[in-house]
Amino acid sequence: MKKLLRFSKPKHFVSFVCIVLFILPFFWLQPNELELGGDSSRLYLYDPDSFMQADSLYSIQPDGTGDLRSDQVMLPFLSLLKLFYFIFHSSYMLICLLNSLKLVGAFLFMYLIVVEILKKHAQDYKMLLVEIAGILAGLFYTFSPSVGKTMQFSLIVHNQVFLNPMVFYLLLRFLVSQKSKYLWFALLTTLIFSPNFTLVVPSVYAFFPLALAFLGLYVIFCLGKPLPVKKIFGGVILFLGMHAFHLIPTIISIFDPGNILNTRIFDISTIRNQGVDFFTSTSYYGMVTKSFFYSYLIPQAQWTTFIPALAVILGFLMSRAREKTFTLIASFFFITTFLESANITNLGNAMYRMLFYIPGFSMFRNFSGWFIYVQAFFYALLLGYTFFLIFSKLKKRIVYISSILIIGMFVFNSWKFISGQIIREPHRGTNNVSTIIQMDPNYEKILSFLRNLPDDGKIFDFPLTEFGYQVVPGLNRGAYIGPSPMAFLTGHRDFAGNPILEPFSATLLNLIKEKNIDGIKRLFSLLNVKYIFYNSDPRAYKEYFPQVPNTVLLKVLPDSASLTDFVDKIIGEKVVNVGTYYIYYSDKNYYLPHFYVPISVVPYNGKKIDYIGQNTLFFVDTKLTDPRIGYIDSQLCTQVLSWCKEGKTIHVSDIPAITYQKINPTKYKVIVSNAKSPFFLIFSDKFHTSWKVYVTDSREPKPKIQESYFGGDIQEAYHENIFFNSKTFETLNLKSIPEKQHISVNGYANGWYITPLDSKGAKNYEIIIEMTQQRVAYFGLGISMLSLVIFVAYGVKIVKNKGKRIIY
Amino acid sequence: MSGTIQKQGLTLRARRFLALSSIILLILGDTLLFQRNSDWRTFPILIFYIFLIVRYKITANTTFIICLVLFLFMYIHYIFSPPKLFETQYPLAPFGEKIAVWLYLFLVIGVIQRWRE
Repeated sequence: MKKLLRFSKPKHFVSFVCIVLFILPFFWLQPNELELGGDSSRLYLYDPDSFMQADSLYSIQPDGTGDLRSDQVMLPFLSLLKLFYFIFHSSYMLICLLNSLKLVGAFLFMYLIVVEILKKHAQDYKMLLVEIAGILAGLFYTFSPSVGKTMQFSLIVHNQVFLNPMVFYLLLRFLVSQKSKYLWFALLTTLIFSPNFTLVVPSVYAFFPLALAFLGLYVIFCLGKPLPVKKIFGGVILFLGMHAFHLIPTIISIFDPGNILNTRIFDISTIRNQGVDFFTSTSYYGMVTKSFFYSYLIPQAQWTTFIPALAVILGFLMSRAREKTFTLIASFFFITTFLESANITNLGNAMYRMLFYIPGFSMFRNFSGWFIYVQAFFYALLLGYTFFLIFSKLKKRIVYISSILIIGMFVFNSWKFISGQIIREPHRGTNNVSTIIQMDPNYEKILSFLRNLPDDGKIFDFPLTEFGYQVVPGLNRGAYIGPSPMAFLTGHRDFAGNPILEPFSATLLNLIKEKNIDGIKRLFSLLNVKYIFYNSDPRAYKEYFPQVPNTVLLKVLPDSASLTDFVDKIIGEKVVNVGTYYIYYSDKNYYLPHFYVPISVVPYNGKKIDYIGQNTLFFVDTKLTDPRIGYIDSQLCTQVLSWCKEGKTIHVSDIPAITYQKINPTKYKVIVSNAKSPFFLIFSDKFHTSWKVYVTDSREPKPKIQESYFGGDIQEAYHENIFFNSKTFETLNLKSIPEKQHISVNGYANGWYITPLDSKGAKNYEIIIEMTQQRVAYFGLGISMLSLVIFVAYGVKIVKNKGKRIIY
Repeated sequence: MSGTIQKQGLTLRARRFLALSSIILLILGDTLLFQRNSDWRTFPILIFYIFLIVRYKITANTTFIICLVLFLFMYIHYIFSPPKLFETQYPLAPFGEKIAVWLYLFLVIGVIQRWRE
């Protein structure tokens, strides 16, 4: 009996709830099941080490033609995952642990915040009510749709469900107690979960400006305390320093013309299209009802949704005049409800629309999706306060009974989430295909095979999806649909979907429709496609996916048999076959290595721009048999060759031999031999002005050759993957080839016109091709490492000071 | 003397009751009779209510009781409708959603009143 009474104490109940919430996600999946899909994929939970190698170390996209993209922000989080993967060696464990962390963190920190805010109002006997109010608010928040509905396909920013309350609580404790240890832990949290604290993640701007404003107002007006300005300033500096490794590359990207971030923030037509118009068309989905009644759309449980809204109104009725804290929380609840619903009067909607003209605000075009978390947070806070006010007027026994009933109704209302049904919902538009998969060992063998492939030729995937995703059927009736694991886990670039083919997406579909096999092979040639990956399993095509993500390809190739027939026509020799997975060479007669020197230059009219802003219909009608062709916009061509004229092919007979070697995805070396006259060097990665060429007089021994093409004119050496060594900054003191010699070729790639002047007359020399924006990443990492040392020293100082206080 | 005060008090209460009833009727009229929301109705009703607050010294508690009434309407409509109805306002906002907007506006007014009391 005594034990039972002890258990009934709120703190013990909190521990009990935490344990239950921790265990819960382990029941959602079987130990051999994985949930990895979604827009941004969760492949980092499948293999954090490979993901880090392929995606996060370098400022280059791991798939497609290698667009510029900085994802260094993932590094601390991936390091933590690597540690856990090292301990458990199980993706299942990582997935469950992360889900457990979300649930426990959301509940615990919401509970702690409510207790922290309410405890100043509670005399001794009311402390129990404060704790009960905290528990109810915590459970309400944890079981809310903001946490639960997005659990399936959760983006990495979904971690905000526990990070928002956690960082809020630590900052609250810091401001109230002015103890630096809370600030230190808050900073540490932001570093470990840095993907949630980047410059380009809307969740940061949705929550933290409001949260910080609330904290400031609460401390100054409600508690009447001053803000520890010096410590806050120090904290901000440390934050910026520790996060420099991702902040600096992102800032550079924002000011890089043509970058997607740049256009979204500064380009007025993009703001209008992707911001204002998008908001106008989706604002119908904003509903105030949804902000008051939290529901998982279970008809039987709909009646239980009344509790929070009713409690809030009753709380308002019982509140006293000029109750500062309550009014402050209520104000923030109203602001966030307005932002989440976007439909409070037409005037409110019009004002909201105007906000999208503020540079950067278009990130909130999916307003409900971003503000739902913030609204749930302040709703829970308000609810905690109102429960306290209501319970203050009730007898202890009634408080207990009503609390149990309320918890029961919360659980009943959220049963779809608690039971794990949410993450088991099938992929939309499919034949009831689950998002949870049992990974096919054959596919894992293919990944392993690709990891060991020594060359850097690209891979083309069939079936080709319309989202840029790869479909991987599992052993069960489930499938992974998301960014290609082949690109993100093996370091080999692939084309898994149509959008990744830009600017050739429409062209390829036309070629397939016309059954222009020669044209397709030429396109693969220009895209540096060396391998063709084909999953012949009908489940990966029409059987499981009669619509998305195969809608477009199905129109041209309506079933698995026609797809197989088509693939047979475009492939070369077989490389490997495991189960239904095949890897073939592309046609070797067409293959162009990553670097090549064209023997024919075809100037074309670049003014005929198609809908994606590039002329891409230039290459298929050629009669030239040697694939070493460079297609150049005639206007750009005249920059380097004055006699360049549209329609007149330039034949180059005296070309040098080259040997290329990859140092890492942002740095390559090319050894040029016997360069007697000027030549074009083409590099089949997406054109960017930050790709620079440096001619060096290096006397290093020639690397070991793995493959030779075009009778030895092009040789591919064994590649390396060196992130950092003594030669990382070897080009810092070198002068790059002038930018006017750097032109866009083949509709997307980099081409340089290299003259004997660039090599000071030398015929044999070495060239380094480097993505200079990677330097920014190194620079940012350096600052972060230095800041981390200061941060650790600051932590040691805090511990020492605490020790001193105990001695005294 | 006391009879006169009682008479005046009753009159005031009756007037207040009438005024509040008219507000509820106006809101119901707005939500039931019109298919689309219009600020040309919403804001005049709100201004009229603010006028009543000043004229009849309506307290925040009264506003919150109106909120309770609105909440009841909203809740009843919500539980007796299919969940999908509250997924989007397209093509027309459901009755419950229109009431929810009114509830929001009255809660804001109530909180401001409470602060000024």
